[in-house]
Amino acid sequence: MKDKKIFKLLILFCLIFSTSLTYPKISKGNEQTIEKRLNEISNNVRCLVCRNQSIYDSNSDFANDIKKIIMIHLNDNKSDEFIYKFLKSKYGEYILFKPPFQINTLILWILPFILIICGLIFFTFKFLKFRKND
Amino acid sequence: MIIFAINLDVKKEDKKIDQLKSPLINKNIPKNPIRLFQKNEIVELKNVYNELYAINFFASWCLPCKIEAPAIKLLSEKIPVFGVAFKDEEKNILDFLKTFGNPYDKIGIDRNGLLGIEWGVYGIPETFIINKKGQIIYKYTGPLEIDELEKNIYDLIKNER
Repeated sequence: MKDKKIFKLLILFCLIFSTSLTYPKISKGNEQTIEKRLNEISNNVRCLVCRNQSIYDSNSDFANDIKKIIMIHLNDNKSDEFIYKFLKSKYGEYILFKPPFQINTLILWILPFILIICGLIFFTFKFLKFRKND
Repeated sequence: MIIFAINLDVKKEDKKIDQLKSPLINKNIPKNPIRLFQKNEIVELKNVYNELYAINFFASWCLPCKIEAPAIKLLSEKIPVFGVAFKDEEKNILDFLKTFGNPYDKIGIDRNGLLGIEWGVYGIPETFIINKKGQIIYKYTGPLEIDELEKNIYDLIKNER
């Protein structure tokens, strides 16, 4: 009888002790992930008050409010995509530094490659002309 | 010439940034409930107005809000204006209204600025005009000027009526 009691107490002790050991670890890990995601998203969101600064770099009231709402959504287990979509629905595409890959932003994405190709063609012709003259 | 053209373009862009086109234009107003100032009452704007009205985000600590006070008063003579006190203290709001007059039909409170985000507010004062259907038809960021009332808002009000 006494052994049974001790055994029950031991199980209870193990249960309490195991949860107290694992809980802070999970919570800390979650906190770190959320903070990492907050920083990543904040780096890609424009501060509309400072214009060319991200809300990560800015300490304006606006930046702090947006960080606050991002944090609320992250704690609600919302995806990054949901958060970007939410911000875009309120402030438009201008709030994001990285424009989405779609028809109206296509030129922004392909223009650097076009310029590189044009530059390469130009210098190749120049080089060939130079060699021919030589 | 090129530098002048680039400069002109940058200036144009600056103006565009000041008055960023809101994606909320022609959309229904956010559904978020608003706590009324000095009343223990929470309202949803769609249940308060079924006519053309304006919403003005203001704060007692905001200097441009003091500058736009005469224009908001003129606007309130045409349509009801719902004021939203943005991140403000009760005592300071009362002082502000005492000093600059109270043009507001009703006043709501946005204590932490989260309501402002729902409305796409990024720099107070900001003014919105809402039509009878409960859609945002106009947004102005910055202190409202009498010139803007005369050039655009009065015509808009006339056309919507």
